[in-house]
Amino acid sequence: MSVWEKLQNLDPRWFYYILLIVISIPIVKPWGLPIKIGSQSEAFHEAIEALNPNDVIFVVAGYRTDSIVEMDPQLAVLFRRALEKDVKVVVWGAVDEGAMVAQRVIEPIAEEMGAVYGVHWINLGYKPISDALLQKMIDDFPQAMAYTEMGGGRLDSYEITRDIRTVTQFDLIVCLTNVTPSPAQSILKMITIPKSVPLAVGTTAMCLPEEMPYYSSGHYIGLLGGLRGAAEYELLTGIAGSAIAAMDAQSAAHFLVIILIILGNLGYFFSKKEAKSR
Amino acid sequence: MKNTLPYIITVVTAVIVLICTFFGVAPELAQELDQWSVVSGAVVCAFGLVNLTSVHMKTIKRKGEDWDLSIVLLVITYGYLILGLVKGPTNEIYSWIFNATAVPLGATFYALLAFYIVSAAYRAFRAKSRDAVILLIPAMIVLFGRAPLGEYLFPFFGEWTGWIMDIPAVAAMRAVLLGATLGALISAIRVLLGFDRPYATGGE
Amino acid sequence: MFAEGMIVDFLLVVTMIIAVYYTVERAKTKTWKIRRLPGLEAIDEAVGRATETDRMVLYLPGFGGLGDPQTLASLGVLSDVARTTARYDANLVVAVEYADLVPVYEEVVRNSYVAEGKADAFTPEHIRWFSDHYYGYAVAVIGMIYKERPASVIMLGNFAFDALMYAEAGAQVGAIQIGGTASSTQIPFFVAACDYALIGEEIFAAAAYLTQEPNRVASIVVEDWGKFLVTGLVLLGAILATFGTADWLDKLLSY
Repeated sequence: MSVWEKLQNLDPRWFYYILLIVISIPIVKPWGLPIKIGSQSEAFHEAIEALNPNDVIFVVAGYRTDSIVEMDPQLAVLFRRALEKDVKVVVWGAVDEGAMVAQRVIEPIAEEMGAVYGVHWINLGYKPISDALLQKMIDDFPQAMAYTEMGGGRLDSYEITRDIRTVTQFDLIVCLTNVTPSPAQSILKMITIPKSVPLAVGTTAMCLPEEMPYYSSGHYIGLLGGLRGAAEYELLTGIAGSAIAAMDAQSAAHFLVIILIILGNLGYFFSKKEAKSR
Repeated sequence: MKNTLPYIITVVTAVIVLICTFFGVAPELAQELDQWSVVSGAVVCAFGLVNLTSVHMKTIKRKGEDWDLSIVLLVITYGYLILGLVKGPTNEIYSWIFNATAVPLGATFYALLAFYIVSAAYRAFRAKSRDAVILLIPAMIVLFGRAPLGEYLFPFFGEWTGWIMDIPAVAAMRAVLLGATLGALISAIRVLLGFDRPYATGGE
Repeated sequence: MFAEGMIVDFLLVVTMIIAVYYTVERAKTKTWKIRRLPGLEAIDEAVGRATETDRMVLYLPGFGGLGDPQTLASLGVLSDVARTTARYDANLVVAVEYADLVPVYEEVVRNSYVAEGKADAFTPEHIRWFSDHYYGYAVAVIGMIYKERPASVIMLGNFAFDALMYAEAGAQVGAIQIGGTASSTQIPFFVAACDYALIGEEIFAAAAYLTQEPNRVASIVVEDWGKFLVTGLVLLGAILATFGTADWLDKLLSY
């Protein structure tokens, strides 16, 4: 068997070991590569910066434990920036794990920044998303949320939610999602288009192509895409987080994939050539 | 009757929702039916739990394969369920168990994808045909352009990547979404007209 | 009479219902040809390989329930795959995610075996259920692929990020792979990693292509008419928008 043929049939576990090493190096010793900001992240940043003190935003936690690496940094920076601007945050878990994954991100930040639960922020817990629920949010928001927040407390006993009767009272909806069907598209259809409540979206790199058409058409006013989007947003806000730190590792992984594609193709062409000459 | 009754329920429900939506009459009726579908979804979850219990209890009774793990599964499932119902999701122990188990397990599972992408890239991204080359070139450009190292070494990749993501990728995605939506719409019409009866046995 | 902005939607839906009904009636006498779908023609090859090597055909219908159009399409294809495995005496295993759907899949496979005159060859072991939880199911299926080394893996339905995992695991054990989904984020993975791929609405055409049932073929015809209409509107809108005169079309479509 020639070298090229051997190369074609390498045990894939070698690639897994190489990937582990390649990703570990920049994590242990960061390279500090510059990151260019994309227009979608800029638009997302502008949407948040346009908010005024005491505005209230509705953050939809539509992701699960599998995508925490990409989505947690987006939520962390968004929440921190909102608190810095004295913007109030109401969080809703649209999917089963959403409320709990969001809680573990925002609770420590709230404690650190002295934000009071029920005054500056609140977590409404998990209420499964559906068109009926979204319509109900427009007609009677407290009833849609079953009148309670995540811990079972009454919504009318908290300052932040006492006067909210309809979802249209929110100044901005931010949907962080990685599930199919996308909650962002349901919110767009049921709330944003009929009631003109602006919507900004954060999603993973895998789901970014699916959400891009809605950003291109102007339906979403901002879009964060994956870890790269989170890193760009961290740079724009000046809030250092795990996304910037992870970008060097992402670069290393991308280059490994490129090298493997080139090697694989070289092996394919040269072994084909050898077979022809035989 | 086993096949006819579900069909009647399907047609009546669909017609009510369509009339309420298109003619704006009694919107609360359509919402109520939508709520019932949410409730029935929750019942299916409970049904899933009953099934899970039934299957694993059978395994335990006949000491089938991994019957000891079935005991562990049932203890954890019901233990966590009862803890959540009694203490609520904000309870410290409940949160700790979630953060210590579900979160790292979920993230680990997603991380497997990175390894599979690496081996798939080596094995499958070969320029075997004209179509494969057309697929490979933009893929390489986007791989370079989305990585800060690639943009740093070759800045033009960043611009090209932006163009690819904004124009051809969006156009293709729109076409796929339109096609899939039309397919789903036709499937729904087929169920409405009775040509597809998935609720009947055999899916026929 | 109509709710705001619903007239055009209503007319479109009614038109499609009439079109489906008309084409189904027409299909009883007229034949429409569906173009060749290489992925489906490879099913015979996939099952043949399983018979020769005495390894199984693994069928994955995705994570959608019976309300998911992709699952309905998958059931149609499964029926044909089961008939082929019955015909060639290959071992078929269907890995199902939801326990309450096991009887549905059992019925589909059983009916296919009966139709091939191989009723005795069917056993409930053809259908395997591992876990209702997404991760548990995916990890169990990947483990089964590595352990039991199927000759062919056919994946048709609604998939999330597990699509590449199944495809890559199958490739590593040397299986022939046919993948199809309308989940736009997973299509590229199937195209890259599988030997044959069905893209987007091809999975809806798949059941029609395999069974050649008049009502299924008729639905594909209506789908294509719908696509022509949408394409026409897109082109018209693009031309009008270029000249800045698209407002009337926008207004017309929002009635």
